[in-house]
Amino acid sequence: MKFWLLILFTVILQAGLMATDLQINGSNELNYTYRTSADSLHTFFDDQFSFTAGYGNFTYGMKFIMYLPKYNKYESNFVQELQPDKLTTEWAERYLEYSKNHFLLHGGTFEETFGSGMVFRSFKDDDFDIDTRLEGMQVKVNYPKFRIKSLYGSWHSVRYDDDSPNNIAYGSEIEYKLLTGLTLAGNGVAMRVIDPTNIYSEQDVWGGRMNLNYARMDGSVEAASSSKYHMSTSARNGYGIYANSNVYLDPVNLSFGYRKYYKFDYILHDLPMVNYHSEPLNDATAGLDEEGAQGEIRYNHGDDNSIQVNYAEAWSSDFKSRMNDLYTEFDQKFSNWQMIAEYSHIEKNDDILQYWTKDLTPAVSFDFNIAGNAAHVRAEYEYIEKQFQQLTTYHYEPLLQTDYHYKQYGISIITETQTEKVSELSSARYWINCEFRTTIFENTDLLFFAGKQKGGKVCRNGSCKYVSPFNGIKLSLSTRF
Amino acid sequence: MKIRLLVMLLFLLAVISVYADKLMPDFTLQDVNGNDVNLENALKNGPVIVDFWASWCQPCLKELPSLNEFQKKYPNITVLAITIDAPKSTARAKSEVKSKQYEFTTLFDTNQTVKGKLNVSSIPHTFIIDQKGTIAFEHMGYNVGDEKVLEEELLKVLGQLPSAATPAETTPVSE
Repeated sequence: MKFWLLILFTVILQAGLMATDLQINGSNELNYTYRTSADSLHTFFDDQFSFTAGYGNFTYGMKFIMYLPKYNKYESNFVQELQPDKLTTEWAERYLEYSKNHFLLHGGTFEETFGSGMVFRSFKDDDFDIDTRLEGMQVKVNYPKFRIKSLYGSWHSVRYDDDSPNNIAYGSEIEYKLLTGLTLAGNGVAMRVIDPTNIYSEQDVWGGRMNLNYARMDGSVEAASSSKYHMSTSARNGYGIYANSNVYLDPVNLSFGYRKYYKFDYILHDLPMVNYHSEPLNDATAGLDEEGAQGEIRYNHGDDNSIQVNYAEAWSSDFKSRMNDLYTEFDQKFSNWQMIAEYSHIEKNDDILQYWTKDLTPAVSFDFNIAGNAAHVRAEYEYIEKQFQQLTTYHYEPLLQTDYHYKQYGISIITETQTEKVSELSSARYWINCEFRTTIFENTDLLFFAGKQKGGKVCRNGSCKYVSPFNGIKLSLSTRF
Repeated sequence: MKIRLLVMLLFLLAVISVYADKLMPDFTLQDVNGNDVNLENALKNGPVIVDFWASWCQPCLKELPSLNEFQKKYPNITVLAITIDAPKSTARAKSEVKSKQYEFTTLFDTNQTVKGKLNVSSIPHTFIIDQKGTIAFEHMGYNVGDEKVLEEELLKVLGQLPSAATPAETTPVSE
């Protein structure tokens, strides 16, 4: 009875709203995954339904996901723990927002950032399996001269015995436009985090920022200090400094960046790394002790070609850990085709761990037409060398990608291999995969993937995404409305 | 029972959504100079092209020059190029558009609020909004030649081409 009443209520409510100025956007994505991994179940289904409705000054948004069973793309579950018929449902997002003129009130799931994200950033990134969004409330006041934002929310702890939203964060930021092109901001965040041993630690972060925006020059300087206390180990203080600047001297453009972080590591932020590949000095200790600088020069010759060279260095306070990052790109457009040649070079060294690694990637890509249809070819020849104590290893990772489009059909094939000697290519390990995309109805796309992929950033069939390692088949039907 | 209820509700929402007008939700984002830009105000000047891009997305960067051409060629439209670069990468995005002297308006959706409201899952993703605020056309991905499809659809919205078209034409090559 309750069920039918609810249905009736929804129909009446929605019919009423339809007659008015109702804005609806949504999408539904149905996925079938066949994983070939031996230590896993093979067949997975999921359906992800997103819906946003705007009515007057109100907006309601939600995302609901059903898994049969839940598929974890980064961690392999124990096969005995997986139940093929276990249906898992999840509200990935729910919020209600009210906005009028200069005021906004948001309740539910939200993402927020203060400045560059050095002081505070809560966000979701499906591609990297990061979700630090908050459940709570935020208030924003926006005037041309000043802006204020305040938030209070909780997020899930990483306690081994519980996944409750026990962690709490609250903070505010005030931004004031002092002069045309000059903005000053101050912010503060307090966080209470429960650690895996069920002990709470508290952390306060205070920051300040200056932004410059002029036609020929822009930049920002940001500084913050943090203090961590009430923790199982001794209290500690840290700080972070980040600065960047762009100077436009048509046709040449210069960019500079600088960062310094000392004991400035916590969950709710996203540190600017001041290098092309956004690499920390050490993945495991990002923000603990690192300093770095970056310079970039770009030359644009009209719309036809451009060159950019980006170089960055980073080091620890004792110089025992160091890295460099070089990226160069040459882009040339011709009447009906385009070529991009790239070279990237990352080198990391740690004297204490006696670890050294070098990653060089020359790449070239072409976009052109065949019989009036778009084609894309990309070739990479990555070389990786690693040294750990006395052991040195190296290998090549060549990659060839071809995309072709005919009417509403797009096909992309990527072949990647890994070998120590080029002469042994025929016996090397291969990752070959194919993606087929088409539009079957208005705003409904079908995607079929088959093969083995290594993971990382992939731009194929005209779109870019970060993907996780995978071996098998995926079929996806997505509809936007 | 709970699942049944939810599935039914979701189904109803989806069905009713089909009948509702496909209006673009209003939004306000900051431009490269830190000023607020509002969609409703932009629509007062004429149709609007909204494009989602990022500085790490090569197909997006290849599409930007053609959007700039549209902005120059059709003065009564507004091109809003919304970057979804992470907050730590906004300096790179600024450098990309300012160094190439693009004339369209660049906006920053660093918290992906607008992207989320429009359920944009991959980029580039381009919308053409008519002056009433209705989404007249949307397109995912960019390949060489897609700019011709976009221009054709833009001309229909501008009333310079007949709007009657076959479904295949209104939903052209996706990526």
